Amino acid sequence: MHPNTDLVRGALEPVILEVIAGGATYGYEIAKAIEKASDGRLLAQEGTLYPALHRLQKRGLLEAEWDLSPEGRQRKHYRLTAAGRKERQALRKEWTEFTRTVNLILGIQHVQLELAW
Amino acid sequence: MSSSSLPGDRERPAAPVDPVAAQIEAEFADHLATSTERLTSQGASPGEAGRRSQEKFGDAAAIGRRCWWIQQGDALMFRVAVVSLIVVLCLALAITTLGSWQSQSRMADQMNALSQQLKALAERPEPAPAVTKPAELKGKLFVNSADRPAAGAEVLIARVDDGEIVRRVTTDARGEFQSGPLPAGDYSVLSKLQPKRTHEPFGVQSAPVYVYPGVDMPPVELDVAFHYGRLQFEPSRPLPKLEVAAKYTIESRLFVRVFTKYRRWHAWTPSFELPPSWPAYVRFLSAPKSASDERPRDWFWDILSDEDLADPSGTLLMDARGELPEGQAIVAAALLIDMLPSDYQIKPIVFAVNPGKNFSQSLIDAAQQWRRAQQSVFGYGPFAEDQASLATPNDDFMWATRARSTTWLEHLRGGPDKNKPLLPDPLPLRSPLYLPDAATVPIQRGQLTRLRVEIPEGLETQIRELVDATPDPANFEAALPGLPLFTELKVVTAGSQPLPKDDGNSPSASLAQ
Repeated sequence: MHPNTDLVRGALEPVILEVIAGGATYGYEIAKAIEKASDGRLLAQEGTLYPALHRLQKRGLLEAEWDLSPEGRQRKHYRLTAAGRKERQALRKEWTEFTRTVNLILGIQHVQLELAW
Repeated sequence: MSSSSLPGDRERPAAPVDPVAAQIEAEFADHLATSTERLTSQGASPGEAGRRSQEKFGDAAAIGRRCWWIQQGDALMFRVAVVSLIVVLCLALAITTLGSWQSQSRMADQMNALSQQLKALAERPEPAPAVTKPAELKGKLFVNSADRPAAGAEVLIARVDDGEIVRRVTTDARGEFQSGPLPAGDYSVLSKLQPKRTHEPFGVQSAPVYVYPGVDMPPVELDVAFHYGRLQFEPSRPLPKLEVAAKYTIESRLFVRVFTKYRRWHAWTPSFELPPSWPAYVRFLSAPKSASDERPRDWFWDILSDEDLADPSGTLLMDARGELPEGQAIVAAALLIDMLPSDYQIKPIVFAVNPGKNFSQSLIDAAQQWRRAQQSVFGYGPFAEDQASLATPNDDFMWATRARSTTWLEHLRGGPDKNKPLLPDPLPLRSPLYLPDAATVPIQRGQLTRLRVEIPEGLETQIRELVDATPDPANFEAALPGLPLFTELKVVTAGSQPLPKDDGNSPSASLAQ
């Protein structure tokens, strides 16, 4: 099962920052890291990764550098900028708070309903 | 996938080599190649590996376009914004330029039109100079009525400001005249009265006329006939008279003063004491020679005895011979009372008339002697009649010389302060009274206007009582202020009647018409 597209769009950029911070540097590697971390449920198509990468680059959170792969192809390597690192921390906190709140609300509401009954 | 495989959802600039698209394509190619190699290394055929890699990647073209727009979006938007701004600026510049061009074009058209007009004006032949009629005075003189023109009469054009006679012209057969060009200003027309008079007034003056260049003024119409009437003063009772044997004789005279529009001096300037009704009659037809000549003298005066008042043809007033200009007159009367010593001899004053001259010249000579006598008397005191060498058939001169003094005249003229009594000097003429009740009476052409003068009762009794109470003449003067020695009298119009035919009393050859 693939999650809702809107939820994926909101969660993809923090995930990319986490994956790059974890060592992945180019597209295929980043895509495989996300696929592995999400058990193949976050990226339905690997190509959808690239618009997010380019947006983060455009926002200055990532910087890119072209290099040659071992196979001799042009390869684009990404890494976090200082702003990207700050943003990653902020996004982690926001996401944690958000998911906790949502989980809390959903869980409390459910409990309360149970208690009410 | 190639760069040409990244067609935009929206139009994008077509470029033979798009570095952004090339980088996107290279990045995607590396991804697909890596994925294919991994699948191949896991046992898949190269074809199968490539197909599955592309399937796993998704629509590379669509994703590539999204990435391209992400990379180019800001630059493109900035470029669009710049282009739009440039377009707007160009449009604004174009509009401004167009407006400026239109404005300049209009201005150029206007300048051209103005130039054409100026050129037309410059090329227009010089207009004929405006013909402005010069300032000129026209008029007509007639005798009594317009159908009797005064032909051949000398017309004097006098400048009103200073009385200077600036032009002398003669009327034609129709009695008409033209002054010729004159500077703009106020002018008055004067001419001798017709028929020629043997005594004053001798001339007539028109109302001032303002002459202005280019403006046609109505012609001056001037009647050169002297129209007059007479006044007859009628005392309500005989003038007071009382004889105290071996002491005094109390006599009285009626003093009258009459204002008319007759100008006895060179008074045709606007400095009239009273606004005259025009035309005014004047004594002289020559310009004033001195400032004193311009003093307006618009009144007659006389000191009348009972005998003078008894003239049925009217009361003669000094130089006017009783012929007063037609119109309104202001008449004042007062009673003069004097005390004369019993032995006082009224000396006859006789004017030295040269019998060899004609009658009118004799009168002129007499008048000059009379004025010289007055000047002599005034110059040396109120009782200087003995110094006069003239003789007159009546005693007016004595009364006049005794009456006239600076104080008395000042009083008659209204005085410096009409609310204060006069100083008690000289003796018989002191009086706190003025002439506030002067009457306005008509002087009608050819009519004798009778004026009744009210003489108060009991004046003789008052004087007699004063004389009896003051046996010493030295003390008499001190007692006089209590006496009504100068009493203003009430004057009322009693009626009028036609003048009698010339009985010879009047030297005038001009009877009322």
